Amino acid sequence: MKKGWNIIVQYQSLIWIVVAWEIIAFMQVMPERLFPSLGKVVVVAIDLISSGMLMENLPTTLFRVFAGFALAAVVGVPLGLLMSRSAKLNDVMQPMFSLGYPIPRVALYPILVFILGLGSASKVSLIFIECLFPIVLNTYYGATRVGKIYLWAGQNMGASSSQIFWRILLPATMPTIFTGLKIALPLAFIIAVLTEMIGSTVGMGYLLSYMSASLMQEKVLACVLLITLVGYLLNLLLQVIQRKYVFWQ
Amino acid sequence: MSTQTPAIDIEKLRKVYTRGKEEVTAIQEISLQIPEGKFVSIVGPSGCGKSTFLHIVGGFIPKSTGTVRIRGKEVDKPGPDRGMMFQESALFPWKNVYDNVAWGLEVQGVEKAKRDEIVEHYLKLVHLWDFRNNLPSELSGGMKQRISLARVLAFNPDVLLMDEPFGALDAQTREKMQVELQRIWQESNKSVMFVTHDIDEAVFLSDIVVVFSGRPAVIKEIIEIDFARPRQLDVHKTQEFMDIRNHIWDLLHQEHSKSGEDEF
Ligand SMILES: Nc1ncnc2c1ncn2[C@@H]1O[C@H](COP(=O)(O)OP(=O)(O)O)[C@@H](O)[C@H]1O
Ligand SMILES: [Mg+2]
Repeated sequence: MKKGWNIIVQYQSLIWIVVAWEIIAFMQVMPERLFPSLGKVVVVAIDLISSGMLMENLPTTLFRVFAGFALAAVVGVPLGLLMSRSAKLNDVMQPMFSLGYPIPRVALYPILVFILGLGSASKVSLIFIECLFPIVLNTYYGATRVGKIYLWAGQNMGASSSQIFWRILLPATMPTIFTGLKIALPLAFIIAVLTEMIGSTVGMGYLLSYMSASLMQEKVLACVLLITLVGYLLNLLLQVIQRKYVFWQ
Repeated sequence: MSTQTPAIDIEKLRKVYTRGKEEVTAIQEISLQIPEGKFVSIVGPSGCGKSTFLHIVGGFIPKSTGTVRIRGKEVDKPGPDRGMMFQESALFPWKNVYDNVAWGLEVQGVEKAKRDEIVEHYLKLVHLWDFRNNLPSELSGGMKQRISLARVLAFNPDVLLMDEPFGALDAQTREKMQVELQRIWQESNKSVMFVTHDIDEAVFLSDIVVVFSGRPAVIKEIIEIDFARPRQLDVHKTQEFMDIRNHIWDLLHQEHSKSGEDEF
C-alpha cells in the first residue's frame, strides 16, 4: 500500500500533466483537431499496434539503435580503458574527445549521408559517433580512479597485464562504464528517430513524419507516445543489465 | 639451498619521490638482513616511509638506489614470491570471498580441484569458510583482513608483507587478530615483514623489531625479542615486555621532540 503511494508521489508531475491536458481538451480551449483528448490518442496508438504499422517500423529503428550503440560500446570501453593505462595514447585521443564533445555531431549527418546514402549505414554511423563520446569519456574517467591497490593485488598474485586489464580494470570500472552507457542509449534512440525523420522510408522517425503529413494531431501524438514508451523500455532494459553486472555497488 | 642466505636482504635502499620539481626523500638509506622464518615488525612515526619501504620490497614502486633480494634473488617487480597485504582492503568488491581467494590460483593456472582444496584449507584456517559466498562488502573490517590474509597465503609466497593490516580495527578485535596471526604464521613457517605504528603489537608479534626514524627514514635500532612461542596475551603484563615497550617508546619519542613535528 505504502509502496504504491510512494510511486504515485514520485511520478506525480506526470499525473498533473495528464490531468491538465484532459481538462484543456475537455473544455475545448483549442480545436479538437489540434488538441485531442488523451483517450483518443491511446485508441489511435493501440490501432497503430494492431494494424501492424508499429511492427513494420520499430524493428528497423531498434536495429539501428542497437547496432550503433553496441559498436560504440565495443570500441569505446576498451579505448577508454587503454587511454587510462597509456599516457601516450591518451595524449593522442583526449583532445579529439574533449574538443569534439561540445560540437553538435548531428551536423555530420549530411556528410555521412553523402558518403553512405540514406539507408541504415549513415544512421548507424552517426549513432556510433554520438555514443562513442560519453562511453569513452566516462570509461576513461572511471578507469583513472580505480584504486591502484586492486591492480597491485593482481600483479602480486602473478596476473599478466591482459588479465589485469580484463579481469580487474574492466570490472572495477564497470559502475562508471554504465554511467556512460546510460547517457549513450537515449542519445542513440534520439539520433535514430531524428535521422529517420529527415529522409527515410522506414522506422519510427519515418512513421512520425508520415503521421504529421496527415495533419491529424492524435496520430502524431500516438506516435510520440509509442516512441516514448520504447525509449522508456530501453532504459529499463539497461537498468536491469546494470543491476546484474554491478551488483556489488 | 644455503642456510646463510637471508630471506630478505636489503642493501643501501634509498627512495626519493619527485612530484613535479619538488623532491621528497622518503627513505634516506636502509640496509637490513632478515633470516628465514622470522617475524619482523617495522615501527616508526607516521609518514616516515614505512609503506614506501614495503611497496619497494613488494616491487610495486621503483626504488631510487640500492638492492632488494628475496632468498638471494634480486627483485624489481611484483611477484607471488612476496604476498602483500595492503593498508586498505584490496579484496575485489565484485567477487565473493571464495573467488577472491581463488583468484590468484586461477590466473596462475592451478587446476580447479587443487584450487578448491587450497581455498577451503585457507578459508578454514582463518575461520571464515562459512562466509565463502558473501561479498566483501557484507563483512566486518576484521573479517575482510582475515580474507585478505587467506588470499595471500593461498598463493604460497615465501615472504609476507603486511602494511598495518589491523590499523583500522578496534582494540579487542586487534588483539584477537594478533593471536590468530601468530598461530597462522607458526603453522606456515614463512618470513613476515609487518608494518605497524602500534608498539605493543610489534613487541607481542615479533622476533625482531626494527625502529625507523622520522622521514627521511633510517634505522634507529634493531631489537630482538625472545619471549617463548606461542605467546599469550598476558605476556603484555610482564616486566620484560614493558621494559622493551618503554624503550621503543623512548626511541620514537626522541624522534618526535627532535623533528619538532607533532604527528599525533
Ligand atoms: N607517491 C608519492 N609521491 C610523493 N610523495 C609521497 C608519495 N607517497 C608517499 N609520499 C611521501 O613519502 C613519505 C612517506 O610516506 P609513507 O611511506 O606512506 O609513510 P608511512 O607509511 O610511514 O606513514 C610521506 O612524507 C609521504 O607524503
Ligand atoms: Mg603507511
